[in-house]
Amino acid sequence: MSASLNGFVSMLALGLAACTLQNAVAARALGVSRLLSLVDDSTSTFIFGLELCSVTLLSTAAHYFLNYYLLSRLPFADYIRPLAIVLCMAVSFFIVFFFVIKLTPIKKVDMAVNLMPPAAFSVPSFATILLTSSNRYGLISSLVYALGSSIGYVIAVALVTEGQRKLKNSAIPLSFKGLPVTLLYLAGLALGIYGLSGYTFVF
Amino acid sequence: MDDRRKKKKRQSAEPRKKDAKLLKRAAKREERAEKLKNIKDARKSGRFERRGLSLSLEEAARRDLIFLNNPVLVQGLALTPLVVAASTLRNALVLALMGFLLITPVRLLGDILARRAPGRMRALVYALISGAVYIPALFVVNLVFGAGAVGAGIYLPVLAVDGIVLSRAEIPLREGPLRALENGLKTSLGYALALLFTGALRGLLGEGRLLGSGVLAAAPLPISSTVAGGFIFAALLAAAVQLAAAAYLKERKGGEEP
Repeated sequence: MSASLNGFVSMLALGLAACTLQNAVAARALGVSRLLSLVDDSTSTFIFGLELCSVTLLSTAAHYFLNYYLLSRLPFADYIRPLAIVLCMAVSFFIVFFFVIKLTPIKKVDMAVNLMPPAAFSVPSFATILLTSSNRYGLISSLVYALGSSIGYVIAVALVTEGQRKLKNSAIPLSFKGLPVTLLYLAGLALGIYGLSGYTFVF
Repeated sequence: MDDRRKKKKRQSAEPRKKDAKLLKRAAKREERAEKLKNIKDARKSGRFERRGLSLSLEEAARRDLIFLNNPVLVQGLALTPLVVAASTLRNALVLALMGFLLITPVRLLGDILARRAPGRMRALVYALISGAVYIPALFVVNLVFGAGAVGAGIYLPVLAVDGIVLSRAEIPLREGPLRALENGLKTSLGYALALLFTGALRGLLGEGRLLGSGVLAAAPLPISSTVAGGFIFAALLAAAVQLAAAAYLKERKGGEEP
């Protein structure tokens, strides 16, 4: 009983750490470019987040088995790993694409379908798979980490969207408008995470 | 009797309808060919015939992918390696070389191979090309830098799916192999310049070192080596480029006015 409870707690801690202390945006600056294009529209953020979570989870599982049965036995695994991850993402892309067309309400289908490619072949998803592989996580740990990381990314997008809304109303020097002020806002978030964790991550 | 007449009328009307359809299609084809010819002529003469005007200052600025429309500091692409991994000049050099080896070949091959791919599958084609190009690119990077390439960590493979490599997949318009080569090289150069400048500055301020040799007695600003420092540096550089570009364009516009 206590062993299973310990396992559950450690998984919960891993998921929470992936979501907060090792946040994809604030701690590792993953997917910042995509984030900047998402912050204007809250509906697209929600749909993008769902698609990102689904693709990341499926790709992580697919990569885990591919790595276990094939990649880890190859001498040049580091060279072909990105291609292998892209292939896993491609398979996940088609599966999620099918469900997006079937399940999304008609009004939102176009938007959901258009958001699929950037969600499927995104830096946060790719980097999460790389991290689970380099940290040698098991299947369950990998999936928990992938879920936490994706949720963390969506939370960061929501935080930056709110920040953007506030920043639009304040007087900002012309040269800092747009990208620079958003990056400064992200620097504040990163400092917060840095202060919370108190150490830097090995990447 | 009426039925026969109606049948005859229908039979005679059908070929006419078909002819009209064929004529319409032929006219559309001719129109398209003419448009394409006009675009090709405009490209050959070096003029950009949008609204019958020659290349405007704004258009020229938009096409300058090195300074005025820098892919990293103005367009906001490839910020991930700049903010985190480019904390030293050596890391920046590794990432810049990988950028050179990935961006141009993927853009060129993508332009050729993704020609017939449906819009939503273009990203998939570009990502697969990128993953395939990464294999020889990593071999070259390892050959040049040896163990030094490890310093870039996951940020080296992450470049394979970064916006700077895949963003072209989102634009359905083909640019042609020569233009793809030119834009790819310009983008790589703009990316490398941003990365090297940031890497050198962050290395100097965060560690007091340049390429492994100590330049300053102590690190004057250790925060530069952190992710937060990377964001601050990127923001300051982006603001500086924005300011310089605005001043340059203002000056050019002033000079052009009669």
